[in-house]
Amino acid sequence: MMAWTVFFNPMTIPTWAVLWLILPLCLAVAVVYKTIRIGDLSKLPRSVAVLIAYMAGGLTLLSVALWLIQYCLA
Amino acid sequence: MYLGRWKRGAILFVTVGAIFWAGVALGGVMTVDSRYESWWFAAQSLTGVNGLAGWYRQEQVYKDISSDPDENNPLVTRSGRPGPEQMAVDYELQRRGLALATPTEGVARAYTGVAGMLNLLCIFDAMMLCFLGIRGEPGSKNNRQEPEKPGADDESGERA
Repeated sequence: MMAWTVFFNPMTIPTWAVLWLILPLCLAVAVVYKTIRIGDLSKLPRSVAVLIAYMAGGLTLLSVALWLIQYCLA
Repeated sequence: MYLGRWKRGAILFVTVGAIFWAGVALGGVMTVDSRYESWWFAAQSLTGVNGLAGWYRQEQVYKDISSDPDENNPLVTRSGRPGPEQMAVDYELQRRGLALATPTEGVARAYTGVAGMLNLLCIFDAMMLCFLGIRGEPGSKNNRQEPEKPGADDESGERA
């Protein structure tokens, strides 16, 4: 068996875990966007949390809507 | 630092770097692939030094593949027909355990590509602040605009 090295060989991600990997991406987007936009940096953690909730909620709603559309069409 | 917003700069630097290298950790050295994933590479290279390091690492792998004297190396023994190079490289990457496959490929490239796009957003914001002459944190002494002198508009209007 070939030796696996981090940052060199790709990881094997199970299919069910792919959706959970959206959350770190949302975190990064929220941190960068709010760091640029916010006036007072002390409010950053709360703003980031709210934006992540918005993004996660929006993506969930979108996925439910798309699932319903394909379910109804099928 | 030039804009006097070093705290924000540090947060952005760490976040963009972290998300990029998280993508490379997931996808391995071939996450940055300038030869066959040029659009993703364009986004990834917007991370600056991070993208450059990723590009250098994958170039080393390509050089290593093309210089491998192994008789099974398809780059050495290929027939020369049009288009087999990418298949040959894919085969060799697969043999070495470096080839990216779904779903890791999508996740890793999304992480690194989004990191580049976020960095572009930061660059654009910093440039706009620079052009507008805004420095320091909002509300700080450096960032306060001087109150306008009474009649300043009238004066400029007269000059015009």
